[in-house]
Amino acid sequence: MSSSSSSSLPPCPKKMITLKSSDGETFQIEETAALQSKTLENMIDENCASTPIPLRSINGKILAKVVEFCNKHAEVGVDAESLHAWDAEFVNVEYTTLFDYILAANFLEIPTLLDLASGVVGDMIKGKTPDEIRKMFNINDAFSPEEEEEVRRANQWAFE
Amino acid sequence: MAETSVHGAAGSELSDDRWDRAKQPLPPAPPSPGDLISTLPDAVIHRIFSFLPVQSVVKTSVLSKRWRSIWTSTAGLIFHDVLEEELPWYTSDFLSLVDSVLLQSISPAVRRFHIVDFVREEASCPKLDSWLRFTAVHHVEDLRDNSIRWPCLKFLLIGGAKLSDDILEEIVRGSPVLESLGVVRHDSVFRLDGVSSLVEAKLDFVVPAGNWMCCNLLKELFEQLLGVPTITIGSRCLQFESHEESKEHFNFEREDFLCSWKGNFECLAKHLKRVEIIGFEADSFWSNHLLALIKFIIGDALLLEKLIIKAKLPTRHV
Repeated sequence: MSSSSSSSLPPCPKKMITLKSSDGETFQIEETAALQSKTLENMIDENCASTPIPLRSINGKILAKVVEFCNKHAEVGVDAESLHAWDAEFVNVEYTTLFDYILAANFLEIPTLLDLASGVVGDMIKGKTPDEIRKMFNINDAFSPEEEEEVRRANQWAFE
Repeated sequence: MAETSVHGAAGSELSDDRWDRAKQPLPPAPPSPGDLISTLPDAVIHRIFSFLPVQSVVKTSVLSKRWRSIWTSTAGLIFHDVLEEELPWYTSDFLSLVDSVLLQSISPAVRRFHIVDFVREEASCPKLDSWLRFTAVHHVEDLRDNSIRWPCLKFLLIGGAKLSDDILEEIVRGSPVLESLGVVRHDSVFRLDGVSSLVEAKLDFVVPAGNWMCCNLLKELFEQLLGVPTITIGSRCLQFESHEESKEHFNFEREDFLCSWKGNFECLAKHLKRVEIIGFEADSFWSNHLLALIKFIIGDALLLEKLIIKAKLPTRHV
């Protein structure tokens, strides 16, 4: 039988990588935490992570939160319930910030964060009328009344 | 800003005006952030859709021109039947609704297909089969054969649906990248082949009491799932050993039952790391069974790291 999984592994020095936000702030993140991002993982794999990685589409305020999220989710020994509570608090923000999280998570390819934030937006949409949704998100470029009627008619059941 | 240097009447008017506006039910903060949601890439909007029942998804078609047809290319089709029963359309014409959605859907790559709490009538059984076939065929360029192929399907959850076992087998065989399969409240055991891509399986179905054939099928099913890292088995799957009438044919005492399976658990002994037993009724009758189960697990699972038991304490009647 195998006995390779013994507990006497030598302590591994923590490898850090540096991220740079669109407004020039830099953030250190442990490589193990950064690996939750597919985008960063690819850069690490291709040895492109030795210098600060410029993230031109993410500002410092959001990047700080994303780093915080990755660190939390890389922690060992956090039970599912408290992580769930932590997540809920994390996305308890204005919806504009929520969209920033979504865009950052989409760019960095962090599925856990993307799902978390998208799920909140989904909850905001669920059960609302189109008018309420339009108002909530400032959606303009509306149809003319005739066009709208036509679209509704195509899937009448969804509006009953 | 300029306002801070303004004193007197004009200043207070301004703040009163703000106060009035704040009282109105307008969610966004005063500096309007613009239409952020419509600027999201389609893929992200589809991600949001994946958290919504199909009605909410289709409803977005009326939001604006940008939204008119985003839904038709969504990779997730999530149909709930009775869950939102306050909405009459769900029960009245669920069948043609699904038909309509599938007809309009142009998604080249369905990744997620859920039919949850679907109608309980025999009559709708062939319908579901045909949807599955239709969806499959619809998105496949090669229409020569009629077999199911979902090259991109990763998540499949079917709950409470009357589904022929063949079709389930066929779906799994035709979905080479299927990662997560959930079959809940199903009323029979089924066979699965080609599940090598699965990383997660959730099974909860009723096994008819004392049915040898079913029992063997279940055994086979577990053998087929041996390589799947996460398997969740619902209580109903394991319930059948407690039926009294079948005891003379087959000893369904839990301990013997599990022991008779030891051969099949060899793999389990080498891989099982975490066991959770949830919602256990902590009375004396069931505790004996639990003890037997724990004895079995602890004795055999070499790599076991965690055993969690969440018990329901019995309510005492005075």
